[in-house]
Amino acid sequence: MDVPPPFATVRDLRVELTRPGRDSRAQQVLKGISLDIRPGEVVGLVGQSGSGKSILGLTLLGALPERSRPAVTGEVRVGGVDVLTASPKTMRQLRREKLGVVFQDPMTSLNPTMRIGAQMVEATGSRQLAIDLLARVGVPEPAARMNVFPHQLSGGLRQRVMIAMAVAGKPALIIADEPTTALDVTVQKQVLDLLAELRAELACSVLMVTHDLGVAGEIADRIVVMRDGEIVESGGVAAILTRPQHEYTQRLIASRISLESDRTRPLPMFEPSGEPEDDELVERIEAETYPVWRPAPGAAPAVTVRSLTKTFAQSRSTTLRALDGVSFEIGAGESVAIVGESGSGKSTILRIVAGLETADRGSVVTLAVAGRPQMVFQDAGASLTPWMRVGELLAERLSVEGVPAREHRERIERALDVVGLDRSVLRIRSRELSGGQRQRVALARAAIVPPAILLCDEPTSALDAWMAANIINLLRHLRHEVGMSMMFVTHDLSVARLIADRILVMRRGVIVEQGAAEEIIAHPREQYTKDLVGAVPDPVFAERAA
Amino acid sequence: MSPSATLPERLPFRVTLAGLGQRDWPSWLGIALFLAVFLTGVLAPVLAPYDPVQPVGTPYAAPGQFGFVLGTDTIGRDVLSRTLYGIGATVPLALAVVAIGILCGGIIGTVAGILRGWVDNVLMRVADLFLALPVPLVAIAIVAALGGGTGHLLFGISLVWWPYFARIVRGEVVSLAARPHVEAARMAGVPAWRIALRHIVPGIIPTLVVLASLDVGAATLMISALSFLGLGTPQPMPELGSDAAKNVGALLQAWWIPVIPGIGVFFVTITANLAGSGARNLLGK
Amino acid sequence: MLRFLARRFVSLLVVLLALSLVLFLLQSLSPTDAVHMMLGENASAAQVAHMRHELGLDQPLYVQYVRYLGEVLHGDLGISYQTRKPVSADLAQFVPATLELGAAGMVLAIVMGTLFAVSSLAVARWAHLLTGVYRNLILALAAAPPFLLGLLGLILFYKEWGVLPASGRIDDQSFSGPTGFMLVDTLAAGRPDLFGNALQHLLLPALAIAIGPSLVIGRVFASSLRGTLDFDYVRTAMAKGLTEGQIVRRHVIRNASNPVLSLVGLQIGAMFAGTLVVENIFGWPGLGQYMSRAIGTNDFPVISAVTLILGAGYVVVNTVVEIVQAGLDPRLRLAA
Repeated sequence: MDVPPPFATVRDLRVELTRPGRDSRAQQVLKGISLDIRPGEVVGLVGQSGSGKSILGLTLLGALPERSRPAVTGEVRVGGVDVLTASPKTMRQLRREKLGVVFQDPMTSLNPTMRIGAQMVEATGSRQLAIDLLARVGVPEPAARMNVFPHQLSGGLRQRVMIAMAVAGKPALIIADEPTTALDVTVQKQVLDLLAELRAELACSVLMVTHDLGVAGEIADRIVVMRDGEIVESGGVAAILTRPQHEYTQRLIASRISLESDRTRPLPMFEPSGEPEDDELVERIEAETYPVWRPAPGAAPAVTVRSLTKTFAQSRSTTLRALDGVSFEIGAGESVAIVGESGSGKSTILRIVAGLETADRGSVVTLAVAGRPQMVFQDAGASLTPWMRVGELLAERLSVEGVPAREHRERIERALDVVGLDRSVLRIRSRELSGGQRQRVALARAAIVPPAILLCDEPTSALDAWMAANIINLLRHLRHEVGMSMMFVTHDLSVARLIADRILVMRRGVIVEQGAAEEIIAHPREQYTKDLVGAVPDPVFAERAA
Repeated sequence: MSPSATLPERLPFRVTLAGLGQRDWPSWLGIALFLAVFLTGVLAPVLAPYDPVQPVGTPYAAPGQFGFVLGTDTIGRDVLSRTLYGIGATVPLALAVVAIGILCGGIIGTVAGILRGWVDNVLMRVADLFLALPVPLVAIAIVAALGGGTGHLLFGISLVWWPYFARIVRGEVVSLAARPHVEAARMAGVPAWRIALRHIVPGIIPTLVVLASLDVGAATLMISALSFLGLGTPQPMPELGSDAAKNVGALLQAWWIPVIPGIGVFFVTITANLAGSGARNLLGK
Repeated sequence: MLRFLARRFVSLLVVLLALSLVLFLLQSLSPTDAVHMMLGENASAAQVAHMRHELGLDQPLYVQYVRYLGEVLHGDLGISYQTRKPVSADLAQFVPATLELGAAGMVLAIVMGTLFAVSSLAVARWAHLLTGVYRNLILALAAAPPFLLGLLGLILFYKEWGVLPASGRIDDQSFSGPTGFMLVDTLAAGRPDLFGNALQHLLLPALAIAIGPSLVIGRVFASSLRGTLDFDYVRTAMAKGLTEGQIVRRHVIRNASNPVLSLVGLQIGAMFAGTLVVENIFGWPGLGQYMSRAIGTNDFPVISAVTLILGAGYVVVNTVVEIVQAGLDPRLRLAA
């Protein structure tokens, strides 16, 4: 068979960057990368943050940050051009005619002081072409949108504009650097679909740089897994997802939270550096099983929410109804996930139950016998006051709840045991703890006086896959040991399914659907819920469902 | 579970002795130089070879002539001694201006940032009004109205100095108060006063230190300008700005008489600036 | 945009009122009493009381303030204790000289600041080993008080090299023009020789007041440029295949210049203060010399009037800067 020559070839690419600063030292970011991108092929480049995947994308583009004084060796050929030695003029021509780029955050990748139209015309050359292209990528009223500034568009629309600019020159290769990470799940799905369509239309190659195996699996023909500036494994999507060869890929896939993860067992845990585990808590967690929750007969609900209404003023004249008469109960010991997109009102409920916000109307009643509600924040580690010592933080929580000082020591030590921390951390200031330790201390503080309810605010959304798995395991372990009720807010149904007994789906301030977690995902009734389920990037699940 | 795998994101907050090691010696050098200048000024009564106010030699003696290291002025006073005393008058004044500014501004900014609501509104409106005015000019007008002199100089400059600090500190407090750790403390049921003192205020101290140390140079320049305009200690007491101003006429026949006090200001300012950027580096801001 | 302009205008008025209130309060709190200054030390109690009544000083403060405002709005800035002449007449004579110097200083500061910014970026890019040296050089220059720069300038350019004049605005003392701005008047009179001469006179004092602000402007401009170059939209522009020139013109300058603009506005305050000082060194017949004399004789109406005029200029310029910024950045129009 006649195989066409690759459109882009990378051979033994090594990149050293020196970050500007006082004590700057050169750091090898890419350590001998070799990679081919064939015409029409979609390559998913997967790696955790810091793996060098974005730098590889920038190198192909010839746009390494000059401030970091890049030192590059090896060979990079894109569309017949030797990128490392080409003249600026040749590179400009290459970028204009053969390359397109989509960056992560469409707010920063569009010029804030230039109208959309002017930015589009820079790429298309003509106004009519720009309007046509905006229409093509699904921007409604494209002619009117030409005259607005980027901040007047939603994130999804901005990313569509960015994609329109990327495909304006009918590129042979689109480099997409985490193009959906900053977007809502359903918008992410739409953007991925758009990219796939355009790619079929233009018959171009795509280099999809992402931290999410699911996203890569959804769109790519081939997956390349990177770690610490090296490629550990590459191969077809099916092969990588079902029969990963390298240990790192295996662990990455195992710890990935999907719609099929085992609900009764903890997620496999690992650390990306691949060092052996010697943590006693890990062993304890790995031995746990989580039975199905059953309501205790006659027990009072942990939280009763009645007709909550909350309106925010958006500007002088417009208001936003964040909550519109929301009612629900959470049983004692039950775990409930509230799922919805940004703006659905899910976080507002959480903040009202937490007492950080007050409702316009309605009531929240929590169980009086337990401690006040506690919260696990989006970045659990950041909820510790950096300059305070762990001991002080824990003791503070105890004295507030009226626990007599003589019991403090015992209670604190018991709490540390639950999260598997050594007593020695008590004298350490929390900024000196590692990220994982901080997560544990935050959980210990939340649970040291068992709260009426533990509120969780998207605690996995900002984390790499393995850190997300860690915190989910910790939360389930805590519930297993302490037996708290939980309310978990997330946009990710796969996380919700894993952590919750029951799921409430919210949209525009009302609950549109609720039911047992498995039931909601297997048989969603509302279209919105179906969209949410469909938006979870889960290639294996999608294949089996089809 | 892998605590070791995540990079501890350290917030450099305390200056530790480890900073004295090889890595940050330029920062420490800057601070040491400023301390040296400060001590030179404060110890002027000991270090100065002559009385700064009395004529002690031939007028217009060039530097080095008749044993006057930096020469004598138009009526035969020792320029070195006057300059040392001048530094001794300027540095503590600049430190006092910044200290008062940081104290008032820090307290006002913290109160506004923590209480919010109408208190915040009122305090920040006042600060904004001050900030909308040309600070050096208003300082000149205030001191002139009060009639010059060291105390009035200190009062006048401090009065226009605090709004900067108040604004920055308030911004810092508000952003700290929105951090998860403060919400977490609120959720933990920690009383408001303790949140303010224990969970917020320690977080702004590095910023305050950096702001203060970066501002000593600017305060020195402002003081010297006002003194130049005749708003400082009246002659014949030695003061850098007014010594330069009074002797501008002597520039062409005896350059050292007005220039050396100016170089004194320069030394104070540059070492203060070096110390300031040193402090900033050490605190990692 | 209209609402934005209205808001800026209202806050301009509020600030001007505040300025006038501060000056009025200073006047009434000042230990140097107007009546004693005018009547001398030996005035009898009856004379003093009569004078106080005459001047309206026996009325409540707010009445006095309203009257003061009315006078200011009619261009009456009081009578100098010293010369017994209306301050506004003196001001008409001195203001153009100071404005000319201040404007020249501002232009120099912006030009030099841009040069500093661009050159420090160039040093960082092509000679990064020199960045430390360069930074310290700038740090040192920024520590020099304007009067020292003026004195050193005189020694070098006048005494040693004899290339620039030492004092005054122009050699030909008989020359005068309708506007009071030497550069304008000489050109209007068709005297390029005198224009050159006036320019020479202007150069040293303008440099002395411009160097400090230019370094501040340069530093902020450089860091703003660096920050802007790091934004993804610059990479987006690059990916479109635009030339470096196009990228800088369309995507960098506009976004990087906003913080610099607010700084330029703020630096005018430092510039005015510098003018007051430096005029005394170069015998520049402007507000600085006028003010210095007034300080020496506790002539508060003069001090107050000079502060009011320069302060109002400062406030107006900063309002203009804010409006220009909103024109450059659509997000600011919403924020206000």
